Amino acid sequence: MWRKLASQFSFRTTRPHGLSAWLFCVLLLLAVAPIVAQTQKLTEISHSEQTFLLLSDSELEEPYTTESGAVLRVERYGDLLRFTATRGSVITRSQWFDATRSRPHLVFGTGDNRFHEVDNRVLVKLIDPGRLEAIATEVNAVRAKRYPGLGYSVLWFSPRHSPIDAVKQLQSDQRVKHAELQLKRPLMIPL
Amino acid sequence: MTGNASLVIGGCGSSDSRTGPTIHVPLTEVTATLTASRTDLSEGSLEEIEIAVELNPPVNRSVSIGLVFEGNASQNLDFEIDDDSFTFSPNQIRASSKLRALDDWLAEDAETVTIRLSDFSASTSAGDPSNVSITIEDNLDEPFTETEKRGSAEIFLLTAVSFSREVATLELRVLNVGAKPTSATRAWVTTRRLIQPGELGQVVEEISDISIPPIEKRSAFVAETNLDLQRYSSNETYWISTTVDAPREETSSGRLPNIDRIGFTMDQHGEILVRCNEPDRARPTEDEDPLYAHQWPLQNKGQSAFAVNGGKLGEDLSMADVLTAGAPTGAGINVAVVDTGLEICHPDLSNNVVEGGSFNFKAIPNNGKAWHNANADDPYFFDSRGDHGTSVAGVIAAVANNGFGIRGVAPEVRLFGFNFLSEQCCQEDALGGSSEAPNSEQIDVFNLSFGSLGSQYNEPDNSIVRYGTSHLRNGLGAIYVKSAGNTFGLCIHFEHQVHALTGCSSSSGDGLNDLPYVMVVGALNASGGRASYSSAGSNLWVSAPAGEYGVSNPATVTTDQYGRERGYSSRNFPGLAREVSSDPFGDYYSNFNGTSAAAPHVSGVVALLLEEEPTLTWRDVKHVLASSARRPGGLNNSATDVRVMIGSRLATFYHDWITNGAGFDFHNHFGFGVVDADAALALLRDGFQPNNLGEQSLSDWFSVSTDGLHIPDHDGSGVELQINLDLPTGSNIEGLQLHVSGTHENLTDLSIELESPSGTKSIMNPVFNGILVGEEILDWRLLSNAFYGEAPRGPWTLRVIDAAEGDTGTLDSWGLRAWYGTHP
Repeated sequence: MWRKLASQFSFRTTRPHGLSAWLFCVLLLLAVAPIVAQTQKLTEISHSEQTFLLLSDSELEEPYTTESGAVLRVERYGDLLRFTATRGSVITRSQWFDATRSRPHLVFGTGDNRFHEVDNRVLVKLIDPGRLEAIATEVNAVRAKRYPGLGYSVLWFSPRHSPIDAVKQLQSDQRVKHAELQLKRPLMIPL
Repeated sequence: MTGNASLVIGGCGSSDSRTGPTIHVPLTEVTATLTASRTDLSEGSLEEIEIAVELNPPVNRSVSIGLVFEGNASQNLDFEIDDDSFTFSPNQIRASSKLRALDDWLAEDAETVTIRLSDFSASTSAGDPSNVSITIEDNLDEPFTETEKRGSAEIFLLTAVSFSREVATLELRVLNVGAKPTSATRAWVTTRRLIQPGELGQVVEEISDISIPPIEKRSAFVAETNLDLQRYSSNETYWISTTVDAPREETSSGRLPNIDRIGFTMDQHGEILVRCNEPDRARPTEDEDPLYAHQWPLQNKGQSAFAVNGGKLGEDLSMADVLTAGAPTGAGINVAVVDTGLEICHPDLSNNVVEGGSFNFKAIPNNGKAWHNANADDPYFFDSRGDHGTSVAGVIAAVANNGFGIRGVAPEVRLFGFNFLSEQCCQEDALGGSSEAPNSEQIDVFNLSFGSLGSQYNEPDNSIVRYGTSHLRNGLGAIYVKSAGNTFGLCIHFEHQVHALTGCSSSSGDGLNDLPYVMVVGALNASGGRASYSSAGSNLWVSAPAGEYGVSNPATVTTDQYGRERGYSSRNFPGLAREVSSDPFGDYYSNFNGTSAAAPHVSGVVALLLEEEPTLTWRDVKHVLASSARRPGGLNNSATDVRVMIGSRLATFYHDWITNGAGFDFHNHFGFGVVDADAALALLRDGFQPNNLGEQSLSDWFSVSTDGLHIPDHDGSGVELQINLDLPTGSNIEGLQLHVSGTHENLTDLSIELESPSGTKSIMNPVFNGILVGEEILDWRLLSNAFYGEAPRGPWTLRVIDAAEGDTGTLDSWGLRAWYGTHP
């Protein structure tokens, strides 16, 4: 319900809770009760006040607690993979996948406490839109299209190529003014 | 009859002898009787009892009488009454007041109020009868408890298909929109050949080993499986059934089956048919459209349209003048049906289809799930069980007077089909941002008969439709016409009496609906009432005919995939599908409904307006439709506001028709009312000046941080806050968006109302809104059209009320922004 599609994503790797490193360490030192230290890093995708945490199986080997207190986990049940967000003992969100097949990349919205699927499209603004085809080839996009009226272009990626990696690559490309991931919108149905 | 009291004449009450003697005239004694139009009411019934007081004899003086209330029913808790005292003018013999039962949402025994006359003025006494007793029946079997609210799992099963030459891949998406984990354990897929409409043969292929995990609330599971297309014969049609073993109580309130069906036809090459091949249909000798007489949305004469019951005279698009004149017809107007597909070779559509203008999104390798052999120019829908887009298209654009089937509202438009829903991708292409493949920038009217539950405002959609309204049609702006939704009765795992008026789930479950660039359409039935399913909300603009289900009461008669083995008619529903003589080839369908059927009626009328006056801007079109819409004439459309005692205060949860500060009528069920085509055209011909609404401006957000402000639990007082919009005087609102954020343990408890400086009140989120079930974080942009034309400047009041006990929450911030112009 509360899906928010970011119009401008940027990446950074963050410590848990978004705390700066020193504060994180101070809190660890001050802690007197036994706690589970979160050692893993989650890639943070941010836009304005919206922040999304990029989830992968390996990055969630240990439970991860978000700033708002949601605990994120990934568990395997036979051929099934389950991502969960829990608060206390209550699972507030979950997302199941068939682990034997390719699955979409998943992010967790720290603002809306929901899982979102990353679309296979990447929106780009190029310094020279005429370079779109060449850039698309370099990042292994399966399709590229310009939308001059809207002022941007879109690249499509096959399930074999991560749009997340592509955005990282594009954001470091000096020919690219702007590159952003898209989140999948809820299913649209005829009424 | 005389009494002790007297009327004093002269001396102005003075005893000063200089003014003459005071004369005491005995007053005529009068008796008062009390009666009630009935003596029982049910809580929340909206019925009223008239409480009448009569005097005998009439007297030439003022008389006052009061009412007192006794018994275990309490005033303003169990009932309310408009007046509890009466002042009679001289010679007035009767006065009355209306009493209504309030819904206290408590489970209790029937309660009684005895009303007695009291506080008589001079020389007035009680006659017989002087008291009445009224019984207020409880309407709850059990208290409204947390247990009820939490309900069960609620499964939706949706199946998508992609295919190569040899293999069809089925993606089964099991959604749990309920509040508890599902108990389904497996899904299976079965295919059978269609022998004749509604009749299937032996199983061709069965897959039964798809495991389903316990899907938590508001979560999904996606499984994939493959069908071997080598098993299927050429030139035959097959149906696929996908099913999960969920108990009935977990399947959409037990109303919808836990089964999804899809069909496909194998072509002569043994591949799934994905291209439209023109059928062999001889041109009829008569020009008249044989099913036109059943098209009540165009002219409602009470016809039943193959249902059991007829409709109500005149409850239609009010286009009698257009039909008589044979013009306008929408000629030259480019209309895109953005939908599942479009049968461009359909005998009743093909003449209006723009060659090469349509687009098949499944012919493009966007995600590796293209349809084998699909042609980019042909948005043919492979699914043989009905093409929603083809049926939508017929409503707008079926050719008139060609001897085939029906006529559209605008039977000479230039028709384009974009099968956007089959791909679920690329709104830039589908909504006007693309100049090639497809060229959607050439579209004048976009018909969007689709929706999504669970979406919210998103900037990409907003920027595309904003671009379309500001750049297309040479800057006059394209018109986006969208279905409101079919969720009025979608009570996700709990129901409450108030849903009968507010609807179970509002039209704000779809983010596109809360953009002012989109015109949101509700559905009318043939009796002139809100169609039973039509989503209600403050973001509706207008309503239009669509009908009910076409079995008991009329639905819409429209085009279907051609042929008897394809299309909705292949399901053999009661109606036209079983009237072979009326539709010998199976090219039409009489059960089409939903706000999907309402939107294209409006799109057709918009095409008529644009032909009549090509320089209309998109804002002009909205303005003309709002200005000319009429209130529907159904019997059940009138209700009083619903006010309920929450804690110790009355809260309003539903408004009847309002007339806003600019004189526009508005209702959350209908928007500004039902589209009136003749009135809209008359308005254009009566000196309407296009592009005269002033430049449209969008204000900044006027926001306030309330930082964890507690929303009182179960308290009708709620939270009441104000923001002052410092906007230009003389401006007129064209759209008003509210942003609210906060948290709550059960957001469905919340009602959100906004009041304008002009005093117009709009319920922007109805209490117990099903789309909020399971949500705890509120971060929402909601649109209200109720304030259209009013001055935005001044104080706006927000009321957030928590209507149920047990869960609490806070409001963190809220804000408003307005689109406004300067109206003449």
